[in-house]
Amino acid sequence: MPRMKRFYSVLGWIAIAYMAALFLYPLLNVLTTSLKSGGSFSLEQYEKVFSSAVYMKVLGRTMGIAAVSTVISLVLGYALAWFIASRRPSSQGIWLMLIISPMFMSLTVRLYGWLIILSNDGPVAAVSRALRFSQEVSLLFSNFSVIVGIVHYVLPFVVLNIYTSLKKLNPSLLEASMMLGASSARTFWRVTFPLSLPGVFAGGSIAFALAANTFLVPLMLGGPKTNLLSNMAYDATITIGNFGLGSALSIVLLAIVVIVLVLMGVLERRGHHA
Amino acid sequence: MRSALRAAGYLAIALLLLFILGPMLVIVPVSFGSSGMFQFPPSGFSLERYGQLFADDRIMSSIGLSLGIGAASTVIAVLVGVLAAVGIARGGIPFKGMLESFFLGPLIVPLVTTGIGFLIIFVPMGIVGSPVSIALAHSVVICPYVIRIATASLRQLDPVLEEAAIVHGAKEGYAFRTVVLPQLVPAMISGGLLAFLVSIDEYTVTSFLIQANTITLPVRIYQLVSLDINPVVTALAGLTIMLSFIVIFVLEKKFAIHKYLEM
Amino acid sequence: MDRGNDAVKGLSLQQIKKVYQDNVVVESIDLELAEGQFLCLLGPSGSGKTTLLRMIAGLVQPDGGRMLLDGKDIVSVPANKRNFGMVFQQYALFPHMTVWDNVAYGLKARGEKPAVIKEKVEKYLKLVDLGHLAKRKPKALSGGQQQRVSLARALAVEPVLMLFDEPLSNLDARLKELMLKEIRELHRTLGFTAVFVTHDQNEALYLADKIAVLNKGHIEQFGSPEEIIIRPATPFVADFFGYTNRLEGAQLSETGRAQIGPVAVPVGHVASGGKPGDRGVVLMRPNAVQVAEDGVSGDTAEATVVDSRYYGGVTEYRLKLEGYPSDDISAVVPRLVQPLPAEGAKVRVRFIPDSIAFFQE
Repeated sequence: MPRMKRFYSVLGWIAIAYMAALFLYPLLNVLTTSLKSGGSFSLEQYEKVFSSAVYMKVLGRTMGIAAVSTVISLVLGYALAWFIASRRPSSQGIWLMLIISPMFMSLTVRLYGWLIILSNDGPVAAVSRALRFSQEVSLLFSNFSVIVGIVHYVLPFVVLNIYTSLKKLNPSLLEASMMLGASSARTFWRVTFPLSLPGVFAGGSIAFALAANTFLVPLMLGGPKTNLLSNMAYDATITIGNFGLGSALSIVLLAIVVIVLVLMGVLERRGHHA
Repeated sequence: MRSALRAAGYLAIALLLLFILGPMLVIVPVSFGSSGMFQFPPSGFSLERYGQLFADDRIMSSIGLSLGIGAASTVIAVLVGVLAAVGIARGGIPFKGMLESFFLGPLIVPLVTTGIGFLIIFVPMGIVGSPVSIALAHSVVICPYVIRIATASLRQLDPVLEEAAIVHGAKEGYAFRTVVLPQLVPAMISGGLLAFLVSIDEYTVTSFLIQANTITLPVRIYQLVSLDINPVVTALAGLTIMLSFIVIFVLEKKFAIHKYLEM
Repeated sequence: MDRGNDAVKGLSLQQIKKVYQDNVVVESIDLELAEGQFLCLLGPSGSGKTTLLRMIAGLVQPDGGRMLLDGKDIVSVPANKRNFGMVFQQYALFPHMTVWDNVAYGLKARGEKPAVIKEKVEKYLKLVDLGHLAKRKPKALSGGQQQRVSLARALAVEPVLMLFDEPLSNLDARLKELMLKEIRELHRTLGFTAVFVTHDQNEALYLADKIAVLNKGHIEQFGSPEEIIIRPATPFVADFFGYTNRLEGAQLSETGRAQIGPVAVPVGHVASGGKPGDRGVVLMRPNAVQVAEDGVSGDTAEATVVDSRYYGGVTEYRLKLEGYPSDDISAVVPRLVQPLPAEGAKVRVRFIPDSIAFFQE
C-alpha cells in the first residue's frame, strides 16, 4: 500500500518538524553559544573549561561518581533482578512493581526521604551513635550521600533491564547445563550471566547516563564540595549569567556521556564476537 | 552451609528492599509527627502539618500549575508521539535507525543541556517564565516515553487490517482514524500517563525556565525542603507518597501494568 | 453503442511481473478472466500466487505489465478506488468493531447513505447466516463465523471483483467443506467475478471455472478443472494433482505405451506434442498401480514390496519395480488386502492407463 506508506511518512515528518524546532534547534543553539565569544567563533569557553583546575576536578568527580554508582547499581540490581526472576511466575509482577515503584514517585520527595534517613536526627545516625562509631555523623552533603541518592535513583531502571533479559533466558539451557554435571555456580557464570549481558549493558548504559547527567541529586544531597558538571553548568548559566560558559560545560557533559555510551556499545559487540 | 548462604541472601534482599523503600517509609510517619522535619523516628502525633498544607496558597497554586502544565504537555506529547511512532513504524522515511534515535534524543541529552537550550531560544521570544514555555519544554522531554510505547504497540499491529480497510474503499486518513488509532488507545493511555508523571516531577529543565510566579510543584518542594526548611512540606511529601502508592497498587491490580514496562 | 469498447468485460492481465531484489517473484504473466467467472490461482508456497493477487488488489505495485478491467488499465488506480472486495486468510476483521460495523465498513468509507448501508448490511449478513450475531465483537466468534463476516464485508460493497487470499487455510476439514459449499452457492446466487488463491487442489477443483496452476512465478497450465486433472500439461501440474509416482527414462512407443527399461506402462494421456519415439518421464497416480490377481495378463510388471500398511479403508504399498531400481513407487489398492504382504514379498502389479501421463523432454 504505497499511498498508505506515504501518508504515514507525512505524519512522521510533522513530528520531525516539531522535534527539529523544539529539540534540535535549541541543542544547536547551545552548541553555537558555546563556540562564541564576543559575537564571533571562538573556543574560548572550552579553553576556560579545560584549563580550569576546578572544572577539571568537577569533571573527574562526575565521571568517578557516575562510574561508582553504575557499578554499585549493577551489582545490587542484578541481585534484585535475580531475586524477582526466581519467584513464582505469578508473583513476579508484584515483586517487580514493588521494587521499581519508586520510579513513579516524585524524586524530590524521595530525596527528602534520604535527607531524613541520613540526617543527624535520622535512623542511620542513631544506629551509628548506638554502635559508638562517633557522636557527630555527617553523612550528608558528601560524595557518599550523592552516590546513595544516585544508586537509589537509577536502581529501578537497572533492575528492569536485567530482569527483562533474565526472563528471556531459555530455562532449558540451564537444565541442560545442570544435566551435563555443572554446579549451580558454574552454570551461573558460564551460562546465565553471559546470556544476561545484553540486559546488563543496557542497564549499565542507562545508569551511567542518568548518573552523569543528574542535577537534582547532587543539588539536594550534595554540598558545594560535591557539585557535578550539571550543577556547574546551571551555576554558570543562571547564577553567573555566562551562557557561553554554561553551554560549553553542558556540551562537555553531553560529549562525555555519548562517548561512554558508544564505548559500552562497542564493548558489548566485541563481547558478542568473543 | 547452603542454608546459611540462602539466609544471607534473603537478608541481603531484605536490606535492599529497605534501601529502596526506606525514603518513602520514613516520610509518612514524619508527616504525622510533630518533631523536627528531619528527625526519625518522629515523636508526637499531629495532623497540623496536613492542615497547614491545605491552607497554603502557594503550595496549592504550585500543584495547580504543575497539573495544568502536565496536562497540556501530555496532550502535545501524545499527539506528536503518535505521529512519530507511525512515521517510524510504518512510514517510508529513510534512515529509520537514526530517526528512532533522534526521537529518543531527549532521553540521552543531559537535561541541563536541554534546559539551557530552551532558555537560549525562549529569551529572545520573551516567554521565559510563562507556563506555556514550560509546557512546550516538557512536551519535548516527555515525548520519548510516549514514542517508545506507541512504537512498540504499532509494531505488533498486523498491517493486514489497514489493507482490509483500504481495499474496501477507505481513504488513507479514514483508515488511519477508524482502524489504527482505536487500536493505539491503550498505548496512548499508558504512554500518556507515564509522560504526565514525568512532567509533574520534572525539575532540571524547569529550573532554567521558572520565574517567581511560576513555581512548579517539584521546585516548590525543593525550596521548602532545602531552602526554607518548612515542615509543611512533610505533609505534602507524605500525601504524594500515599497517593502514588494507591494509584500504583490499583493500576497494577486492574491492568497489570508491569507488562508495559518493557524497556 | 460502440461494439469495440465493450468487447473485453472482465479482468485481463498482460505481462504482469514483480521483482523483489533480484528475485523474480512473478514472471510476465498473461491471464484473461471473463465477467462472472471464478478463477483459482493454484500453487505451492513461493509460487507467486499471493503476490499476483495482491497486485490485482492494488496492495502491491507491479514492476511491469498492464492490468485491464473492462478495457481500462487500472495499474495506476489506487487500491481504495478499484471497488474490489477481499477476503483474507486471517480474516482481518476489525477487532474493536462489531460484526455489523465490520460489514458496514466499506459502505461507510465510501460515504453511502445510512439507509442504504442498513439495507445492504442486513442483506449480506442474512446471506451468510449471521444476522443474529450482528452486535458481537469478532473475538466472541468462532473461526468459521469470523470468516463469514469477512465474506459479508467484502460482498457488501458489491464489488466488481472478489478476491480471496487462501481464506480456508485456517479452518478444520469439516468447516472447510461447509465454507466451500457456501462460497460456491454465493457465487451461483450473486454471480460475482472472483480470483481465489489456494494451495489446495481440491478447493480449486470444487470452486473454479478456470484454474491457473502457478510454479515459481509463471503459469504452468491454465484451463478448466477437467482439462487440468485429466490432461495435465507438465510434470509439475501432474505431480501437484496427485500423480506422485515418477518414472524417469521413459520412451514412448508406437502402441501408446511408455517403455521404462523392461517395464512397459500403458499411457492414458500424452502431453501435447508428444509422439512415438520421444524420450521423457512418466507420472502416475498411486491408484494407477493395482496388485494383479493371479492369471491376469496384459500390462503388468513384477515388483518387490518395500513397505505396506492399511490407511483408512485402503492398503498402501511401497514397491520396487523389477528393472526400475532407482525409486520406489507407491500403490493404493481400494480394499484391505489380507494378509498384508510382508517386506520382500514378490507381487505382480497391473497398470490402469487413465491416471498415467507421459511428458516428453
